[in-house]
Amino acid sequence: MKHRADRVSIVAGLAIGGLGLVLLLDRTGLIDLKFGYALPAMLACVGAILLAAGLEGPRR
Amino acid sequence: MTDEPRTPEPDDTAPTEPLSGDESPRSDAPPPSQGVRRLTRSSSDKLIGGVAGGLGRYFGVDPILFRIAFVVLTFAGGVGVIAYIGLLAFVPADDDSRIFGERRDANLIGAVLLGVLVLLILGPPFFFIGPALIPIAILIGIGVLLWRAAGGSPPRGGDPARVIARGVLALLIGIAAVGAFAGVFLLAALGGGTMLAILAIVAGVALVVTGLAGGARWLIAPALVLVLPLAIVAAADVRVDGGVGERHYRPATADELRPSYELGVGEMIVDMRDVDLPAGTTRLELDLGIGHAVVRVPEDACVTSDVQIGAGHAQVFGRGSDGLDVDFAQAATPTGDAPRLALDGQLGIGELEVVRGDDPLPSQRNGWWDDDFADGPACP
Repeated sequence: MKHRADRVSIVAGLAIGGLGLVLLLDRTGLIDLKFGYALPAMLACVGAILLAAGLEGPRR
Repeated sequence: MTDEPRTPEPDDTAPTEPLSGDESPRSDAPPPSQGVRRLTRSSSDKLIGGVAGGLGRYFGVDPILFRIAFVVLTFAGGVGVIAYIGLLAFVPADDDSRIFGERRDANLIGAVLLGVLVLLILGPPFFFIGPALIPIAILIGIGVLLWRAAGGSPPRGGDPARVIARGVLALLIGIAAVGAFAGVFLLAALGGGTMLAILAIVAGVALVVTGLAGGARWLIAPALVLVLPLAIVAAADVRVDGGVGERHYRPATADELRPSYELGVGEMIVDMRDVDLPAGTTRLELDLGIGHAVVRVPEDACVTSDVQIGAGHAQVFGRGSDGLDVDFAQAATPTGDAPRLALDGQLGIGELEVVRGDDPLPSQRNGWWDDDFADGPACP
């Protein structure tokens, strides 16, 4: 049975994984994350997921 | 711009319910391909691009609410304009017209340009209104949750018991999410941030992989609960492994003065009124995860301050700074052989007050923004 790709999950995965990578860099001391960057990144992550879900509509 | 009278549209119908076998489709129902309600821009109820009209139709509320929201958010760092352009670019019109033309590559270029614009605006210093967006986003989120809990449509003759049950379920899920959020926050602040970040990356990869195979959207919410509190802890640099409670230190001599004082969560008072600081520079480090810190310095000390706070207030001799990413520095040059105190304060979330001798604390007067509070010098 062939499954159809779910764009919402893919967008959410990329956004959450990207944010997780930034946080890992901060926790390991490679970067020093501040609210000035973290807040927009958090909002962008949630916004991307909501946007993808809104464009796709509920699943059947 | 047009301001046409609103006319009935196919999508104006309530969310489509599955038809039972003996029911025939109504003539004004959406075609089968639109059986699932979609967010589209309105081609009839529009002032600019039909975005607000489409949102109003989708959520079943007056589009004027969204128009007001866009205008208000436009004054919030231009967020309203960006959001409008984004929706204009990506949300299709109900008549299938595309904002960047019919060519697919033109839409792609438009999307890339919009993405660059958003990235430019999201980064400091342009994103100055960021903190204010958090409560706005939370309020919108709560509103959407309640709306969805009520069945995703205005309660027009719906079963009240079902609506209440959904509302209670949404409330329980919300409480569980808040509890999980707090738990992850604490775990990250206790030093588990690296592990949590790795888990977030694993969750992200799992979402992409499962998304290619059909999707596992249930994983999105727990992954967000994992990554968002960690982001706050990382940004504020909160560490709560120094203990919890109230700590009141009052050293009597310079020998009793520690080079550093640390507390995880709570209130910490370092009272140096009795200390006779030696000539030269005495260093004092203060490390507080979450809470309130007070430093009382000797009357004769010249104080050089370097304070970093993730989120909160710093008030040093009446001068201060507040907000996010607080970075307060004040230099002092002692005259003669006056003792010098070099204060290095690191707070995750909280307040730091530095006063001289028996001076009253600013927070115990008329509030942080008491204009009558006299600025004190770094040197007596």
